[in-house]
Amino acid sequence: MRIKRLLALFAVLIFAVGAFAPVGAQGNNAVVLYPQELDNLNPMYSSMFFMGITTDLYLAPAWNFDDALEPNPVLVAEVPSVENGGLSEDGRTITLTLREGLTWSDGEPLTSADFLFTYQMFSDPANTPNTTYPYGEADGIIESVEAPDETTVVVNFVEPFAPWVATLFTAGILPEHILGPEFEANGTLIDAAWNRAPTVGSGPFVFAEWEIGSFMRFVRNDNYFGNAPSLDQVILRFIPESDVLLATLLNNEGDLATFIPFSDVPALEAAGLEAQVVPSGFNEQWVLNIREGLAHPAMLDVRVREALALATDREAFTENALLGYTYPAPGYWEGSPFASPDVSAPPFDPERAAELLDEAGWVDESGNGIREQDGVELVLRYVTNVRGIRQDAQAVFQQQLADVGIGVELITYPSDVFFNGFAEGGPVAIGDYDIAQFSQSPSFPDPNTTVFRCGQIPTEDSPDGNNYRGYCNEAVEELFAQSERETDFDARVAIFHQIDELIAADFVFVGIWYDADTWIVSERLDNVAISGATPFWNVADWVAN
Amino acid sequence: MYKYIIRRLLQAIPLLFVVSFVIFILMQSSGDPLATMGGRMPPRAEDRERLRQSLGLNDPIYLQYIYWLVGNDWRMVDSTGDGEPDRYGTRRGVIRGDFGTSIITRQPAMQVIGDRLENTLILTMTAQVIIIVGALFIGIFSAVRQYSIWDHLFTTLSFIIYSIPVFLLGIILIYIFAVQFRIWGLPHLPTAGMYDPIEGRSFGQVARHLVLPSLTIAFISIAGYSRYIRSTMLEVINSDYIRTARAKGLTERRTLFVHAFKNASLPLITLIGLDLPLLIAGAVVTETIFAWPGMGKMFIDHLNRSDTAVVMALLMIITLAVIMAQLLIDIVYTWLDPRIRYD
Repeated sequence: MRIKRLLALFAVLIFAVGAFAPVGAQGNNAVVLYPQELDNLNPMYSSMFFMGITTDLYLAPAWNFDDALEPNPVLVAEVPSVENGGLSEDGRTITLTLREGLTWSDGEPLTSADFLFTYQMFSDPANTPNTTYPYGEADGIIESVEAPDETTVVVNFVEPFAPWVATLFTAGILPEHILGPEFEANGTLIDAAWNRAPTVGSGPFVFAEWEIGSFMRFVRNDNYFGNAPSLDQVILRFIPESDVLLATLLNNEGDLATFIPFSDVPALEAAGLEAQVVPSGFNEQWVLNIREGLAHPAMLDVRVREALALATDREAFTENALLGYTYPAPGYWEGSPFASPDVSAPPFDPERAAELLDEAGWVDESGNGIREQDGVELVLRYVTNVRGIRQDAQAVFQQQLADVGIGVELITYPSDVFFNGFAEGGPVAIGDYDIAQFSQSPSFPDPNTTVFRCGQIPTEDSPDGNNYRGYCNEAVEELFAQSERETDFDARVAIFHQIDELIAADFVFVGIWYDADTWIVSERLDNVAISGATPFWNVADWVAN
Repeated sequence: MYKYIIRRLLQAIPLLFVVSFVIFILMQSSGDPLATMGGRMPPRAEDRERLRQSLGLNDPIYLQYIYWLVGNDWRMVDSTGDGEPDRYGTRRGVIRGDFGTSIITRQPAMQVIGDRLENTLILTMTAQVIIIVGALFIGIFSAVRQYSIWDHLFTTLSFIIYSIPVFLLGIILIYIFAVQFRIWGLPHLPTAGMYDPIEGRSFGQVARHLVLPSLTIAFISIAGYSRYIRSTMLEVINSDYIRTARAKGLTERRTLFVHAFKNASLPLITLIGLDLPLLIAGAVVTETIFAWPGMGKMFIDHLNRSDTAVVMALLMIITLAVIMAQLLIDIVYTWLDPRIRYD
């Protein structure tokens, strides 16, 4: 009897504690769930995706990108263009004209001096920023930045630099009146308290609290220069475990989340939550190695590379493993206007794949099921990092490639080893693979990338390159060089369409799936229009019901 | 006794050096902190090289260990990453109380840890109290009522719960008491966190958020502990001196709790002693599942990004806690069993 009483008491206790207070996202707030905690709130000291998207809350950029990926002016009156005089005809000078009446959250004016300070801090190696790009002297992109008056910033480039729209002053402007004295006193911003508690900001919300390991709170900025935000607070909660994040959404304890596996979307939609799938610039792909002496000799033959694409049913994989929420990306720029409409994903055609392999001289003479040529068997190294869906893809495609006589050795690395650079012996960087699967993006939403450039093939003498394919096509090279000088948007789109078509014909890229971001939004929030580049670009307009 | 304690403390010093060196070497093979830097794309090779140089990651391992131990303020370092030493280092080393700076948060390592210690203690101490009370109750009850239906029930449940992975148990509890209870319209518990950020931190809030993670830890430990208590109690209550105590006419309660339990508790003390350092170390899996902002979750976050300063500081604290807990157990033994002498 005593035990029954104790069990009853235990049940009552759970109910009593449960009844303490209501659970859930409530009031005039938005609760955003992140699977990772941010490392820092100074954009100089973080490379995290989640940090990059958070700055729009508390640190205004020159411009961000709306849900159609169009630049949306924030601190500037207009995004510079040749038409409005902000961009010189030769593409070497940009003049930013700031909006009138800009202020920091403490009421101090936000001026061109803050832009100049931001440039100086990012380009000063004494600050040990995570990246100096594109400001650093060693990057050789910017010649000078000047502030002729309080509302004008002039940027002079060494050469015309078309990717400025996605890279220049887009990570938030730093407050000189707060950080300037710190830099003068210590010669670096590395220890500045502001880095983790930016209580003075310029976004629609201002940092209020960081409960380490748990959540971050931003409250309405009453001195915001734009339209007054509707919400009182935006709270970021850190929930690392994906099943628990899902339960938290289902339990109405959060309003927004991303990086949700496609397999969880049906349950969330059934519970009344909305899924917004937005392009992120990323595409899951096969990076095919054609570096002579490093890749399998068969990889140097374009017919073999085409056969790899034809032999694998990527359409069925996205349909089955990703529930049809996505599809094989036809090209590197899928999900942006820079993707050529004339490039389509290679179909599943194992017969044609076998023909191509025969034509290329890879035939199974020994009858062991693996093709060979001159005594060399067609066995390829297929590498990826530890991630369930990638290992699923490896297993499925291994079987399909075996069906056309291609042997595949599956190799899986921990992420920190897999993504290592050439100097650190990363397997992809040093070319110790034939097929590498991972997701890549250009300087989204700008199309620029160096992964197909001839000068970027890493070697002992030049280990910094990131063209891990070893791809070098003179026509592509010339088009990339043209695109960097081209300031007209439509002309640049046309150039990238040609690049996309040439790369598709060379079969060094095989799209596995279009890797868009899935955002889950609760029905409690209105006006949430997620942008793939800067998701919180219109957070001031969000309304809670 | 005092001599013994001083001798044990002195013995701990070389042990700490050896442990620190071994862990430091192991940390070097745990991954490259600059491989992804938490980003979605690997950093540019030129940024990685500049940071490697300015953070001292290009130095030989023995030199990095020496800097960790005694600091680097006695020699010039390359703070800008251009390959040229430009100023004296600023690290003072562990022996002068400087555990280094986190490569992730760019804060002093001890500050990173200090932020989490209280949260972990709230969770682990609550769980430990539940474990001890629950295990004592079940263990003693099962021993006294050996082979009763309750003994069989507790034995079966113990084996079932003990074999459930803590990860699965946590998720099951969340889906029952948070998600399903809400769907059924019952008062329900929160899924994760230490308190609702909108409600703010209060006793009630922390208590509600504490229920599921502390029970997740406790259930599995109770299952194991109670088996130990049951077996040692069975051994003791069947011994001659307990029969004597009963024959003297002592009450059953006094016989059990004063005479039997004191002697049966030695193995329990050993178990608790082994668990004491975990009070500080936190519960890695449980804290991660329930997003409890404690030491265990912090350990995983920083280990995943190969943050040597924080991981080393935490492991050294745990090592010290293990040494102190063992010493404490030895002292408690002498009180529980006067036959044990150290002098």
